[in-house]
Amino acid sequence: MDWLRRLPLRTGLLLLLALPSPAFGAAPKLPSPAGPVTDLAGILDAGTQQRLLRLIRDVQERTTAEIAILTVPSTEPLTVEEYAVAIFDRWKIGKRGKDNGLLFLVAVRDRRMRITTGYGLEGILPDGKVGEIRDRDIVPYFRAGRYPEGILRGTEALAKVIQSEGQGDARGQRQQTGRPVHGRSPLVSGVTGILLAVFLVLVLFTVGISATEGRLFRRRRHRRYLVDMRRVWLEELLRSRWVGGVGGGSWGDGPGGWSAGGWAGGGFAAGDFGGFGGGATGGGGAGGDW
Amino acid sequence: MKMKPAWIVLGVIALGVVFGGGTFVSKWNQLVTMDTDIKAKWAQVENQLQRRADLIPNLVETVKGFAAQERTILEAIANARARLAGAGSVQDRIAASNELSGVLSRLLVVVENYPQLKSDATFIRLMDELAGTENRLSVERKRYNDAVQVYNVAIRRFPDTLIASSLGFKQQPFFEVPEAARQAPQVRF
Repeated sequence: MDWLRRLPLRTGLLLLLALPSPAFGAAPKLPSPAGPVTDLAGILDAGTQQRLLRLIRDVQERTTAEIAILTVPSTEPLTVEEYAVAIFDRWKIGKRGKDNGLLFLVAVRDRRMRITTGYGLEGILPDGKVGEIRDRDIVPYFRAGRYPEGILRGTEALAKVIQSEGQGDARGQRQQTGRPVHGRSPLVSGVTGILLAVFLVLVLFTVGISATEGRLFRRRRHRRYLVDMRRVWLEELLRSRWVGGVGGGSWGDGPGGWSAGGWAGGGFAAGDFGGFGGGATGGGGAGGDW
Repeated sequence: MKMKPAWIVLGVIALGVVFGGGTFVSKWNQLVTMDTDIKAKWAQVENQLQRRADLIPNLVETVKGFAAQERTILEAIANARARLAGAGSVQDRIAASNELSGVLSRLLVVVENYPQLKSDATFIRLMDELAGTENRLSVERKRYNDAVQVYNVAIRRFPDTLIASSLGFKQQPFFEVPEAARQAPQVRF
């Protein structure tokens, strides 16, 4: 009945392989940053871009806070809020641990914009304040079609708050648990299995010795036989330790994407731009349309 | 030396126990990690629910200042908020939260009739905070659901499901939002 014994294992393996990764939904293609300022909608002239870059560099040098500006024609099929968070999660704006990142997103065709603050900036830039800046320094210019000016003034206002009110270390409502938790690697699980195996070996060995302490088996022939058997057991168990460890590991190999979730996508390459610092956001900030 | 079958059987059983033990322990640890991750993500969701609940009294007061006669909607808000405060289990809190979202959306519709309220600085600020909170809630909800997804798959896959059920790991509920209420309150002036 060989085929019967082999069947379940193969089917089981096939099923395991066929399971889809638990990543949620099909992620639309997100752009990579071309630097702190990424003007995919082509609304910024060179002069404004230079001024923005200088401003952003100043803020970073003085406070380590990272500002990113992104203009796109449209954020569809996502809403501007979803898109902003997706970009933030992918680009990881702001310093890791401090989460002092800020994303200024403008979707020109949709006529919607959103400023998303990292966890670390929520204290000095609460949603209400960001809204104020939006209403005073951005939307009036956008309504008049003066996008470069609106973006520049908005960024200046945001930079002013960041620089005047410290490094934005206030955590707001952030918990340390905002960071993704990584599962134990199969290796560690295997090691645990090995320790368990060693424990079992000791137990069995002790049981073996005590059970055959010579009382019941007076005849020499039997005793030798039992001692030999125990040694054989020991060898078998020692050999099986590695099998147990590897076996434990292979079952334990969960889908690689489970801890990734919204953090999927790693770094990015963009010329001489070094990339952002690994910061995170909870989705705070303000936006609107014009 | 002849090997007695009894010893062979015992040897095989010992092997099985060791193999099974290793698998069992490693799977157990992974499920515990996943379960803890879910609880941590739910704690983040709770943070945002609390934040939203905290904004509401201010919002209600501001609206009353301009539209005190809109008693129906104001009472509905108070009731929904009370219901959320009283909800215990994860599923109850999800339902109460969805109800509150629905009521807040209706408030936005009502507010359209009061241009003075709409242009009041405090109101605008509060609505920005509320919209920001709704967005945060949406983000934490998604992260929570992602973690639940992974966990639910892990405890239902064969043969892990045998281990999971023997240890008492149960499926966790998703934070689902009814289609109608899926739009977060938009700030549009």
